[in-house]
Amino acid sequence: MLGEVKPLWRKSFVWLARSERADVYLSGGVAAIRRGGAETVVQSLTDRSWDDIVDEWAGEAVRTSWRIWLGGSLCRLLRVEPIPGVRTIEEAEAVVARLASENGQSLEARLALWSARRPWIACCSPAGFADGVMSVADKHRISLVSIRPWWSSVVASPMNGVACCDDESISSWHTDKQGQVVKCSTALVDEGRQTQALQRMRVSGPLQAFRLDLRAPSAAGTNGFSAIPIQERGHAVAS
Amino acid sequence: MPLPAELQFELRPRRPSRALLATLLLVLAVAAWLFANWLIPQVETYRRSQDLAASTSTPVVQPVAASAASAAVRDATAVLDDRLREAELCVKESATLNRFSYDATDRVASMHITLREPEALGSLIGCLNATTTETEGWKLSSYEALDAAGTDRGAQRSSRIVLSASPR
Repeated sequence: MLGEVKPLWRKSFVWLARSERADVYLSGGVAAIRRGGAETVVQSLTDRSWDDIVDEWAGEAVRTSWRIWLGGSLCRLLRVEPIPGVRTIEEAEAVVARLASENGQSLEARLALWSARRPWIACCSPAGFADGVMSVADKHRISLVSIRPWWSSVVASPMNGVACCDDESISSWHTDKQGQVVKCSTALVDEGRQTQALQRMRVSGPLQAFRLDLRAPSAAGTNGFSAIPIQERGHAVAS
Repeated sequence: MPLPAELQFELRPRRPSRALLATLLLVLAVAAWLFANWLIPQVETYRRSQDLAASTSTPVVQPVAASAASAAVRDATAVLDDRLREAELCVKESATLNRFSYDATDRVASMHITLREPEALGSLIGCLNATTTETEGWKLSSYEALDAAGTDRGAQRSSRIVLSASPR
């Protein structure tokens, strides 16, 4: 059955007229939205699915542009040694997705860079998740500016090790002197156990840790949500 | 230090965004408009130059009649040359060709042949009619025995024949 045919001129004017921007955070347990300078609205996903909540928010904000920020189980870092015979980034993503889906959950992988000789670093999310977000956006004529891990806009990489904590995971990576990633992972750890997990991670070397703060205003010159540093032996601080 | 490039993920499907498509369309539209603005004056200038050239140039009068006459002469000459060549190939040194007459189309209609060897007449007629490629043949119109004047030229038994072209 054919869907509704939207006139091209109408979509173009919608695109030109769109000015309001919203930042949306999604993880396995929390969804949050912040429209312009308004306060962040945070909802738990224990009773409702993410697509239900996002569909509701999108219905209230037709013709806006959104940036989607992912955390927790929706963007898990995975490092895979290069596999001979793979010739394109799409093939590499398919291979990584298959390797990551061994636990029974079907995942899809996205690489930012790909090389036949260097290790592949993938961001894994549930299969069909990105398409689902795109579908909701198309339904409400919302322009998706980006779908990225939350830490990609607020966390620089000033030192060897970085750990980024959100509501259900710790994503960490270590870089060499050339700034290339030599180790990375995402551990699903809830907020109550993240302090201990960070202390264990710091045993092997210096680590600069950050915690996602959904309600804090974004820092000047950055996009998305804010991250606050977690000092060594300190406790997570959430405002 | 910025985030490593390996960690700068973008999970949207890899396809041109609407903004990129709109930008491309805009660039194409501007390029088309600029090209049209350049092309239209070019075409107009060309048309004007053509019109100006047509109005100032002197028309060349073609000598139609002369051309037709030249063609006729050329054709007739070609026919004449062919027939003479055929005849010369046959008579060789045994005879002399002279007193040609022409028909209305300037084609050789008859010729006089002075034979130094009268017995060669039969073979000469056969040669002429065998080698010719025309649809017409040669036939003997008259035969005249020469007087002693021929003897003076060293052709004692020479004879004069007149050949004329006739349809086969």
